[in-house]
Amino acid sequence: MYTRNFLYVYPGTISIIIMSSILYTICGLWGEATLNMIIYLISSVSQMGKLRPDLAMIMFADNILTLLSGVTALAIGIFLGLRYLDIKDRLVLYMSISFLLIGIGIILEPATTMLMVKRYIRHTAIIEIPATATIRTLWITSLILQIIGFLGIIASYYRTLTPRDYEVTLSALGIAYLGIIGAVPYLILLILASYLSSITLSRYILYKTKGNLIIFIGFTALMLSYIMIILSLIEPYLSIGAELSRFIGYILMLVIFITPPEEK
Amino acid sequence: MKKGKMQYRSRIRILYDIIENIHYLREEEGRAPPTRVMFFANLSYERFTEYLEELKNRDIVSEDEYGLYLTQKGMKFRDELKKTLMSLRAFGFEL
Repeated sequence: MYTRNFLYVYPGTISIIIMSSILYTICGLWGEATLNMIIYLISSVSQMGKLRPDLAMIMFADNILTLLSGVTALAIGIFLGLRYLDIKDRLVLYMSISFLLIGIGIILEPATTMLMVKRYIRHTAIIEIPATATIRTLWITSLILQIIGFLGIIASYYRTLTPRDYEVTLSALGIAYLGIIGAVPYLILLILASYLSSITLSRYILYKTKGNLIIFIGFTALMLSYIMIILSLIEPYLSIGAELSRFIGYILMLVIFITPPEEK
Repeated sequence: MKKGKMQYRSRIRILYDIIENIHYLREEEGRAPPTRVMFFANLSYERFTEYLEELKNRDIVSEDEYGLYLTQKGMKFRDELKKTLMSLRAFGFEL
């Protein structure tokens, strides 16, 4: 009975589970490529088994900002979860679960990096050391949780979409599919964030409220952060901008939940 | 064929409509009879009774000789409901 209720409660739970299994396999391959980039980054910011002080500071700031973004997303999830207990509205539940997944996913990112740094410092003799199974699993899980979280938010929008919106969604999913087969998992996140940014932009054009504008800016900040995260594979310094942008995005969303702007 | 798609109304919106109408009728007209609240909330008898029972069981709404009214807990619930509704609308959800 409980299982049946759960499947009923979260729309497309089964499809999300199947999709996440497929994503897990694909991201496993591409996640490995991203993880190798991190290993390369760690090895490039270190000398003789110690992190170079200047670059270590950037890595530290990057991780702190990531952690703050994760905690903020988690706070939104918990906040909505508490509201759900009172209101018992399914939309609030979907949003709560989605933000909780995103929050946990983001928090796992610095955890993985820290584990990798620790491992690197311990093995000073080797220039580039492979990641352990635990680190690999944490890393892939982190990306998968964020992808499922974003899909959950999109699924929430589905409940109130018009047939025309469905067409847009289908084409967006088509692009997402190309993203899955053609690039790193962050590209999938970028596409999902871009899609949410475009939905919120259309809602802002339609209703022109202050709240719609803030949420649009929030999702756009997330979109920009994923662009910068991808570019940071080429230029590591961009990762600070990426994490700052992501943090701003989640903070704006948290503000909307704590003090929603009054409508006319 | 000309039948249009039914306007989607979420549970949170229905609850808000009921609570807000009780509050409005009580404040403005001094009376909030269940039938008038049901009419203003645009609900069928069965659905309205279902929601009202739930709200009464949770001590959010109560009834006296002037009809329905919001309890102290109900007034707090109204604020929470309004805030959540505004936040979700900011996200662009059509509730």
